[in-house]
Amino acid sequence: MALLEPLFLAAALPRYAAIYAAVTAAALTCLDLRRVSKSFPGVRALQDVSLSLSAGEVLGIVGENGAGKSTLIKILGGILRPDAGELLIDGQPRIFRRVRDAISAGIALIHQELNLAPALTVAENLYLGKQPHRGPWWFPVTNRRKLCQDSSLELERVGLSVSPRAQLGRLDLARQQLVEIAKALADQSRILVFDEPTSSLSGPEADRLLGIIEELRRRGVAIIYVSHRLGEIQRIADRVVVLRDGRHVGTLSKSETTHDRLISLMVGRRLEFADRQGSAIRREAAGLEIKNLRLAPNSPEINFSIQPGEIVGFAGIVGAGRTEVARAVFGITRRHAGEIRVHGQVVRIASPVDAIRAGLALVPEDRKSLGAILPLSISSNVSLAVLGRLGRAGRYNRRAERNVAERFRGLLGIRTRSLNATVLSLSGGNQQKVVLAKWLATEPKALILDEPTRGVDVGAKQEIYRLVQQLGQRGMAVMLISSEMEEILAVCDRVLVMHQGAIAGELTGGDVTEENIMRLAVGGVDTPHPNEVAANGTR
Amino acid sequence: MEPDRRLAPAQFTEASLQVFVMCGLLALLVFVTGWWNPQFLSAYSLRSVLRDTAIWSLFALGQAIVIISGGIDLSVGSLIAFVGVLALMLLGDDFGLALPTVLVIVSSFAVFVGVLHGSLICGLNLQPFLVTLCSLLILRGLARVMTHDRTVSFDAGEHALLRTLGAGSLCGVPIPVFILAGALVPLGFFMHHTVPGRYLYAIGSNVDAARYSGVRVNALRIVSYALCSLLTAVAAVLEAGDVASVPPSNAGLAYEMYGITGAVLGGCSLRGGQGSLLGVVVGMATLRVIKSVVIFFNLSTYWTFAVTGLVLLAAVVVDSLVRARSQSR
Repeated sequence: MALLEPLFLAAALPRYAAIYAAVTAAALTCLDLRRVSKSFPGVRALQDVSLSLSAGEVLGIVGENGAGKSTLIKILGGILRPDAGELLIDGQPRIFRRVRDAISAGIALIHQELNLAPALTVAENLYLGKQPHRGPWWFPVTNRRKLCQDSSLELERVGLSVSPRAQLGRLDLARQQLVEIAKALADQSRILVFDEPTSSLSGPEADRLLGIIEELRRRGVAIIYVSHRLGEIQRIADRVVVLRDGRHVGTLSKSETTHDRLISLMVGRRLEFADRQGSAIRREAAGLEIKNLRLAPNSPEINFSIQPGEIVGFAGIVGAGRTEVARAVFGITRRHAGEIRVHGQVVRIASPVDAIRAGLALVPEDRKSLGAILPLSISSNVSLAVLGRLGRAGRYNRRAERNVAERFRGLLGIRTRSLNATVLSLSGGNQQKVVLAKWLATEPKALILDEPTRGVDVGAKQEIYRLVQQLGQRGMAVMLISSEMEEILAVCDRVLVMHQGAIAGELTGGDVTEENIMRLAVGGVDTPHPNEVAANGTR
Repeated sequence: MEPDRRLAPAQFTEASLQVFVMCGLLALLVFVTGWWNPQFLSAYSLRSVLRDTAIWSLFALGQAIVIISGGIDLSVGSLIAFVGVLALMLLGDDFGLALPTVLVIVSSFAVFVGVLHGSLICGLNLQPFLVTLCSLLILRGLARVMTHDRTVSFDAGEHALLRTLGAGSLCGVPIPVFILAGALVPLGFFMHHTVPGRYLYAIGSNVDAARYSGVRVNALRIVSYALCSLLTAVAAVLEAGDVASVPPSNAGLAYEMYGITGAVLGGCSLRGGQGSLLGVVVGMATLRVIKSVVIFFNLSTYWTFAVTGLVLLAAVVVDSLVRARSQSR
């Protein structure tokens, strides 16, 4: 053995040299990702992505929905393991098998959804899992005094002035977020990964957070900042990495970072879509018209109308308020104010029952928890919304149920061995077809689709697009909420873009381009205040 | 494509298989016990098994409907005590009401309790477990307050009709069996052959998807609790007639657990959305036979609970193993 060792070392020498070089080249480089790839069934989420990060640097990461940002963050946080590629911390290759590994390597994720216990105090949250205590190991007693003193120091570092004894759940979201940052710092984290940290903060709160991040940078913390808000990225990032379709498509230094450059990199150029059939928009009373809709007393007013035969896309970043509008229209959540007209008639909608009676249908965004009843059979699911109409006097008519299911199985091409199979046993695409069938069975006048192709394979996607277009041809008014740019471009006659709960703008004809949509979706610098646009956002 | 007629809708095949297995188990139990001790098969013993099965099945059916729609009702045992006490007091000398009037009053009260449960659970979004736990305490407490914790009884001669309802037989078959049949047929039709019944399964499987699909989720859940309380009240009256007295602190004690056990043995899943009413009756019969088994095998009656628990545990474990096997295939 001893004889072999020098040989072994010699063979490994080039590698050691490379590591040595890397360490000396930048004593500052604390995080290095090399050619990282990750695939999910049917999707290549990340492909050969490399990036590096130094202490005292803020690295911005931008990209459209589905560009691979979340996957990247999850890999950094030890939630996902990459299929290929290397992750180096301070020049040492590391493999994160679980979240704990990432934390011990000094990486902390600051999420949109906070990882805190709202029922505990601020101090207890800061030291969750490592509370200072006294007494023997088998009877640890919390050292309250030390807990509070230490917490006060940590809270000061992030400029938060709340009592360590305050219950966390009683703080507002901005303060809770600061607690989470303080917790990360208390964990000795040197790399903080912010995932859309300002998405639920008000303007001044977001400002304050950015100030704190700048302060952390001065103190040598390395920061990754992922956001849709390009203004924030421009303000805070020393470099910006742009991801598109899972690839690293460019890195811009601070001086190169302009709104337009970012957007054009994010969007790239894509293949043109299969030719659209002529649109079948009918100029008569609107199929679905929403007037002065407000979700809450001080939320922006929303107005739009969809003609029979028209497919209107609702674009925007995740959380822009599109799903909320759909739910309010369908009577699932309460509206503060607003009028809904279907084919010109004012309809009262206080529950989904009313919505269905008024001729609306909603394919909700989360198929598994809201759309289908997975343990029930395909026929039961397809007939669920029309069961009352099928039978006479409340009688459950199994034959009619089968007939409906049989008809839509043929119409939509639901591929299954038997209609008695549970929906659980179907593929994502076929599950979604079952949900669509359920709604088409109600013969709606207007159809609301919320992310209808999420988690659906490519073939089924094409079938669903074709179906939606056919429905348009037959005079259905379709509201299509989608975060997939291609879907919006391929299927829609007109696009409304939402930003922070308001309709930020409307695009028609040649103006429907990815660049324009992105510009409006991220709250473009050259657009007027959303509230002003909302008033003109309808025709 | 030719429709596949060999298979009934998914949830029926699974449930009916379980009913079939439970029937086999029940038959085996009866056979083995009868072979060990022929006394078990005597007319008297069988009649008492049938009577108890019928009375217990009534509230177990209610429990099953609630469980199928994704809820639970813990107040059953206390409601039995309360309704029993109330009925006997109304019949007694202080009030002197006729039996039909009393039946109307206690049924209305039970429906009121059920609607209250349902409204609190749906309207305020409270947990069924908590709401009905409160009723368990309140109703038991009220029953004891109303009677000063003294057993209420009635004179079998004076109220022959009530006595016959609970303890009488027709052509050798206990009257409660006919009442159970009279309830089981319309309830089975309701659950398996009407639209609201189908919706209860849908609600139990996925309440959000049902709501999105335009199902009147709240109304139906309230109906399920009302049905449960109503059936419990019927069982309470029969039980009072059978025993001829109602001890307020003991009557119906732990019956909610009997109901839940019977429902689970009969194929209901506590996650909701599964189960058949016929299965519940078979489950309840099994439960009652186990009680006899303990006696006829000359074990102390103190063993009853332990044996019942073991049988339930075995049923649940076997069920989950079978399910895991069928899913891995």
